[in-house]
Amino acid sequence: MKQASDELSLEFNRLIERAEQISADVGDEVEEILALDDTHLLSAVEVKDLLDKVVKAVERRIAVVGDRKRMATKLQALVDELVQAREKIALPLAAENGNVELIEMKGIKPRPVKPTPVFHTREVPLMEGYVRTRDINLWDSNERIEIHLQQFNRKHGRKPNPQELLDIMFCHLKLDGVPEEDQFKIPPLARSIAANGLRKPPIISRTGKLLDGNRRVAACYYILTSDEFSIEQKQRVEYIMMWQLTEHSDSEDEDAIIVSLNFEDDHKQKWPEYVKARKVYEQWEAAIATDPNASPRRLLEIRREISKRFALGPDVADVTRYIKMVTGANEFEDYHIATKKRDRYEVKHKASEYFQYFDELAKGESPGKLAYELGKKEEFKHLVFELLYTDKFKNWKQIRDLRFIVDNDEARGILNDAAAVNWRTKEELEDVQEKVEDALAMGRTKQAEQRLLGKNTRIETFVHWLLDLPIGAFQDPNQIKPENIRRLHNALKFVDNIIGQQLFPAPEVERE
Amino acid sequence: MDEATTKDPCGELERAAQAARAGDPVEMVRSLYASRILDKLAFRIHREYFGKLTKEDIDECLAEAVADAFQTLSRGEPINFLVAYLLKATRNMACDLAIIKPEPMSDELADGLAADLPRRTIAERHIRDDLRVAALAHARRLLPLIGQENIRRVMEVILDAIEQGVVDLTDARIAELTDLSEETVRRLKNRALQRLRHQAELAGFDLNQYQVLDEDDRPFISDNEEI
Repeated sequence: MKQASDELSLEFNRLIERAEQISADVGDEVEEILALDDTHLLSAVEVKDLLDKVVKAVERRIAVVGDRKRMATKLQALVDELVQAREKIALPLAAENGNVELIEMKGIKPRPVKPTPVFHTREVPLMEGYVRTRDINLWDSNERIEIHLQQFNRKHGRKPNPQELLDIMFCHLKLDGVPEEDQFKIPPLARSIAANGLRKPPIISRTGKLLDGNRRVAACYYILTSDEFSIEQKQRVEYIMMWQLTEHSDSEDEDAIIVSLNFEDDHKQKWPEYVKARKVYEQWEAAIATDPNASPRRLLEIRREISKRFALGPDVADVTRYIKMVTGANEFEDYHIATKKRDRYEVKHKASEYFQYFDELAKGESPGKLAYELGKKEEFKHLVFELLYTDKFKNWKQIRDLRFIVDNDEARGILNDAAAVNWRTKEELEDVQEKVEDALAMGRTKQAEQRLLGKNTRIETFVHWLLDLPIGAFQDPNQIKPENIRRLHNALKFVDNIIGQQLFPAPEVERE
Repeated sequence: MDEATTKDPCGELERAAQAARAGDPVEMVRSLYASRILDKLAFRIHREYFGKLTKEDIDECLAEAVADAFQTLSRGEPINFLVAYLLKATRNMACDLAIIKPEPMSDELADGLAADLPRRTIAERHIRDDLRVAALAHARRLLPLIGQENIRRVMEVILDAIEQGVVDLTDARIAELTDLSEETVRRLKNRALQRLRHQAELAGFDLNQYQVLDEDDRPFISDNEEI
């Protein structure tokens, strides 16, 4: 059986996905979408962004130019009207003013927090009780998002409304220069809260202004509005335990809380990733032991279950990564303990210290890539383990370049020399680290040369072969398939375009 | 427009479709907005593609879907149910965009060699188009192997629809084109897809591996922070 290329397999998979998509019965999903409540409404800013795009796209489809111009004016007027309408509606978030009252829930009546908490050397009396999450506004002066707020103000000439504040924290509202990734990490926090509950009560003023816990409250909103969470999880955060200033509090109390909780380190230390990954790995091993013949689909399900159990989210990327890293760390430990007879706990400390490096070592499972080559070349893998154990790598990025020297005898020779050095002083360590860097640099240079040579050689060989081909070959579908002639034609047009536009632009026409 | 009075989304959707049939984009957009379906679809699809596509990307896809629907209806062509059409059209475009959109460049990639960076060029897009044609041709070649005539006819209609860029293919439409009952179509459709997948695997396509890897290869989300 002939194996289809990866690209074609990928495309075939997409074809089947597309077939499923277009022929799917989405009746239930449409019902769900229609049933979404108004908490999902876009803000006025988002409505404008979306409608501007809709109007432009629709205009492009209007065939007659005169109609297009006439409609463009009308459509723009409509956008302005609809955006104004959206600005007026009150979002179902908290009222801006008025006191927020703590309420009794789960048998807990509002009561003073005992002993009286101390913030920044000041005793601040607080009450504790439940508050409806939707009655809390994110604090629109929070320093955490100060730049975002200033940027929003400059762009729109006003402060963001409560919904827009939430969107900033969910990274749903695009601001120039703000990276696309999830800056505030609300989804992971939401998953943690959904799994463990809200462990530390947010603190609010009498009017419901959030003094501490913006991210936690945003995460509760996220749980309430995301499809990712179950009804039970949503119910658990509908009302949350809060601490509230009393009617006797003053602005100095507020300041003390803000400074204490946002500027002073609580010295809480997270578990090392090595420890967390081992916990995940133990669960994985236990699951595999009970189902040794699990299909790939079942393995994926197992990883999903583990991810959920450890509040790592619906994506299995973390679990997969941890499994690979622990597998690498285990090999490292086995080698040093069993082969090199090193102390078990010293080895484990090293594995923990360099745990992130195992992420890099596990990457690239195809020929020529690091994980693949390490799997094939035991000796080279042990050399890397030796260098790692003896602190010879300056940083984890160097691990990535190891693939360039797998087959480079000279560079590997330098690495072997470096591995043999027993350094005693910082200067000696720096010297030997330089050697490792030299070896890697040698590999990188060689690789760059080969790549350049490879491109030119390939093109020269292909052109030579093409020009030698008899013309009749192009007319005979048994020799060259018509689809391949089309592909060749497309490629040549592409090259022609590059030559015409970029390398040798056409001379400008002289004007008389 | 008084938003608080928007109580009849289905009525507004029907009005949107009627306006599009009459070639009136202004009323179509107004009614779509009033139905709040644009808000809901934007929310839904954005959540689906969170971390892969930006809100702006999703807006672009939704906008194109609305424009497609307008064009289709104004030409007198049918759309069975506007929301389903918008959902599928937006999702199809989002799916394609997620594939061709360059990955955000991470620090580690930026530190690597320039030649190794994943950049999608025009040439790659040409290649992708060719691959799409090749995948369709392969699928058609496998049709005789997926079963009896009825199941083949159902699959043929679906493949034709993909080739023609059809967005929403209802069971009723397949039934009409194949002269089968809707119930039969519903039954055969899933079976046809399963068998096509199976035959493709027998023919050397590595579909299972791709599916699992695809899930694994998603961008890594950093550790959960403590509360």
